[in-house]
Amino acid sequence: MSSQPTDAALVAAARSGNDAAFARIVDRYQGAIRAFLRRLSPYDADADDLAQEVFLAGWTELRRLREPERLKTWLFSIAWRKAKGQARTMARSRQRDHDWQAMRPNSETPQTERAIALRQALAQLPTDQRAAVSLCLGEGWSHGDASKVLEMPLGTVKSHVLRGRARLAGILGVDDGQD
Amino acid sequence: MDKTDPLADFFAAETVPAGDRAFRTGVMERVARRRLRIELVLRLVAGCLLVLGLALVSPALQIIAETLGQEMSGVLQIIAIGGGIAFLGHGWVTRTIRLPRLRLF
Repeated sequence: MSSQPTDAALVAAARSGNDAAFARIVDRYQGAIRAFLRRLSPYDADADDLAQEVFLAGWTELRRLREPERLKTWLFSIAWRKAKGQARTMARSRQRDHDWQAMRPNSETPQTERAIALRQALAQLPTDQRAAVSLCLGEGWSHGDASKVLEMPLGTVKSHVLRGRARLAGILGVDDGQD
Repeated sequence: MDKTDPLADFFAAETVPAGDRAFRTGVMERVARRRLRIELVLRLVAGCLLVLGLALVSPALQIIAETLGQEMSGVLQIIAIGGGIAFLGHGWVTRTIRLPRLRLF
């Protein structure tokens, strides 16, 4: 049985200049970070580019991480801040880029019908609600952890998840599982 | 995620490559570029400080050199240069001086 190094061990190694350790951090969290950002961004390529920026910012700011064992939460916080920044930028340049964006394929990764339906349904939710739903339903995070990442009160996150779940279920035509 | 949650199937259907080497390579390339820029800036600043320091110290050194005889001046120069190299070398080897990493190999 091979033991996986802890996040704290990888952070310590990466801080001392070990690029292999940082590459392992990237491998460990790239799937979750990219999935989170893809749910927030209309285009996979933009989301993946943003995800690379998240890891770059992580590398730059690694020495400021006070609790290395909370690496995942910290990376998601960076991702959320960058996603909000990108959303503002895109809102400003949406009209300018509209024609160009329309010519691009929506996704470079083949998606199933369910995944496409989910993306279309998520796109109808407000950004904050989408982020809360993405973390709590998509990534299985607790409401408490999600509230820390999203820098929202716990009650707000719960409300976002509850309403987002109901709305998603309505759009997708399934039972929302809440009795 | 709750397995009985009907929405769980939709989230599970998403396909995001978990161990994408191209993605990792892209990140590490950006890291290398960022590191290079930081090292260049640090070296530029260190070079400027060195030149400034020498400019400030050179009048005093000149007075000392003129005060001492020609022979003593040469010995002093050798000691100063040797000491400086030894100090920087020690700092680099022990990493006690936070200079940009110099990779010889």
